[in-house]
Amino acid sequence: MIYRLINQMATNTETTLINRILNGETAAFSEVVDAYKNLVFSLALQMLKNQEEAEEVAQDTFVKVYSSLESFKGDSKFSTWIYRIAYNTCLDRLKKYKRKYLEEELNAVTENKIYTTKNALHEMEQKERSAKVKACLQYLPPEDAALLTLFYFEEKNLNELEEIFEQSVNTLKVRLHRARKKFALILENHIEPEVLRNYG
Amino acid sequence: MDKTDKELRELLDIAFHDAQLDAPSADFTDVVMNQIKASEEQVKFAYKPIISRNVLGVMGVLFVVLLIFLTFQLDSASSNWFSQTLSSKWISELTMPKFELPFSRILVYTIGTMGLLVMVQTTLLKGYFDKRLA
Repeated sequence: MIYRLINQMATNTETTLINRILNGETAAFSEVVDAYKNLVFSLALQMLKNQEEAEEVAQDTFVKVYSSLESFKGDSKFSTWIYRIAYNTCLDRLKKYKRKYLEEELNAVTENKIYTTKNALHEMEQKERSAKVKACLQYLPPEDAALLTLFYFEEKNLNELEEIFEQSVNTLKVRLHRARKKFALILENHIEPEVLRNYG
Repeated sequence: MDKTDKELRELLDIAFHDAQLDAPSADFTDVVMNQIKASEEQVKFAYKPIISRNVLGVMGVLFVVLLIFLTFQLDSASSNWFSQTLSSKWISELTMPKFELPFSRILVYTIGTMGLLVMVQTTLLKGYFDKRLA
């Protein structure tokens, strides 16, 4: 419980940095941008599926973070607070343009298929595997892509994701399971059949 | 179900094990900082009326109260002081004094033209700042 509390609060370094910015040292905000830009941009990219738009939304996110810095009370992790702003900014953008993303038709997932895909993925070169994973994330619906990005890239625990997505841990567990299932099927669709046959 | 879930977890652990985050363009931080500076400049030049809304509200209320007060005062006084004063003979005989100041025509035209120019400039400047801060 105590660990959870400490883990969910802003660190002293973060608080000092925030105070410096609030006291007029605007340039110190570049440290915040540098620290979180990759994850904010990746989150936007996985949700919006477009490089330029993701960059624009990531910039908007940091401008929003700066302008509402005073409202950050420090009762959650600074990163959690930033990711929540980023996630909501992406949702706003998606709503604004009401864009539909290409979703693949997915078949039922079976243990055997997962096992085969897992082996095939395991045997791939690191670079190839990384490229394949990124390509497949593009086919996931925005909210599932956001969930997987934050869970796996940021090693988030569900309690922090609860704050970002404003959903209960149980709901998130169900969503995570469905997102994993979709991702497994997309992976299977995108790995060449002959490669899969070798590991089947 | 549990076994499928376990397999799924393992699959995604392998998939994301060495996946790297995407990086934005090299000048990303500079662009964000410039946007922040620009937004701060905008705040410095933000439109702010000389008389605040609260003061205007208080002035409005005072004006209305004064108006009501004067109306009642005049109504109650109309039967005696007001009617007597206005209808008295001596007030109708009052005439406004005539002021004849030595203004030359050139001076009058100059002041008129200057006033006109100030008005034009004010309108243009207002338009310029509105555009700049929009």
